[in-house]
Amino acid sequence: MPLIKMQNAGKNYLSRTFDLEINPSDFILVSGDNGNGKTTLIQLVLGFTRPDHGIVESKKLKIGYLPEKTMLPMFVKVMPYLETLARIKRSKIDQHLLLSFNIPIFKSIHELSKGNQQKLAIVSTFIGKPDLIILDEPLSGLDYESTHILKGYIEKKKEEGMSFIVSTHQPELFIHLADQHIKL
Amino acid sequence: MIRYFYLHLFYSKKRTIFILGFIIWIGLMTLLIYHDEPIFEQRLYSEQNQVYYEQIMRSLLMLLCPFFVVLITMDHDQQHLKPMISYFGRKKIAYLKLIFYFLVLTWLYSMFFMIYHILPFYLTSYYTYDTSSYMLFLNLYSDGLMTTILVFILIKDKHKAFSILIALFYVLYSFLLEDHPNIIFFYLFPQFSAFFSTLTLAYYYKLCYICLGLTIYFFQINFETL
Repeated sequence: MPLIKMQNAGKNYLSRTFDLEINPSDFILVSGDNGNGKTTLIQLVLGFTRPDHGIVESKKLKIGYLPEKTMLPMFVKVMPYLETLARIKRSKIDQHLLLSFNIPIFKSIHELSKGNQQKLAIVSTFIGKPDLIILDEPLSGLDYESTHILKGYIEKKKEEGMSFIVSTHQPELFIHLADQHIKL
Repeated sequence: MIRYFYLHLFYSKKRTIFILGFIIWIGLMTLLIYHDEPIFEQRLYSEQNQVYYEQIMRSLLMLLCPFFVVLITMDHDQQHLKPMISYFGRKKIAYLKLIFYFLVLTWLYSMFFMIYHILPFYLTSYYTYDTSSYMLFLNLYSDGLMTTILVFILIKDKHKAFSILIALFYVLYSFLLEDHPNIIFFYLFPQFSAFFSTLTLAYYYKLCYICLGLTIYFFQINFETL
């Protein structure tokens, strides 16, 4: 039984439709030019928008979602934010990832640089036990070292059997992991 | 989850704003009710003084409460809730948000209620505890719930500044109900009014109105594009 199944699903403003089946431990890579529907595909998978035509069937899933633009509560301090997330998701913070990213944990989120906010958003996405992880432009704002830390972490999680949808402008970094590559 | 909402709503700057708001409120009340008349004179006209206090406080509360409520609820729709919605689901987040804001409103009105009783008790000699204030606060609390639901339905993150219009609407509508106590106006928006609060059915109508608002809110939650 797939986690999510899309049949001919699309929006009126897009010229194409999507047929997609996401199974447990699948890695789906989405790439393409701006405005071709990468974010729309993700919105459809998340159920944030309904298709104008076609069908999107989904189990009740816990999805870890990293949006294209960082969406964080700006005036909260980093550590209380992560601890609260871990508590409500009944899980733990991945200390290894947090330390590797070297995020200043005692600052407020609005005081962090764009790159550090992105790193924090990545750490928070992996908190909990999500059935599927969706990363929309995860490399945006990341330096060379952090990009490789993230790449290594995703490889590790994929080996552990986690399902992924990754939308990126640098597909060459993840192509070796991909079970499906959707070029839009 | 409640803790998450708490962290987001009561961060340090906003906490300061709320504390300042309460200090201004207490200061304003002190200015209005403080009497430098001798104790015997205050007690001689205790009934008139008490009526004056109740009337002025009712007007003040009706003016200020909607602004407090709107200040609290205007941030309800935040972009950072999207990753939480993807993890927990729309309905769960909507329910928990509702519970959180109702708890905050309960706390807010309890604070108002305490100040309403405690301050004149220490500052005046005429004040006697009167149970009729329960009804006033029950009415104001239900008005607070109606305002909250209106904000939840109408105000989204991109135009949250418009929420101040809801507070203004509440204040202007209370003037309208005072000047033209027409039952049709009460049917349209059943906010507290001295004319209709004596009707028992008014409370049931208000309850139904709140339930209708909640139904619309959950309908909207299920179908809106995030």
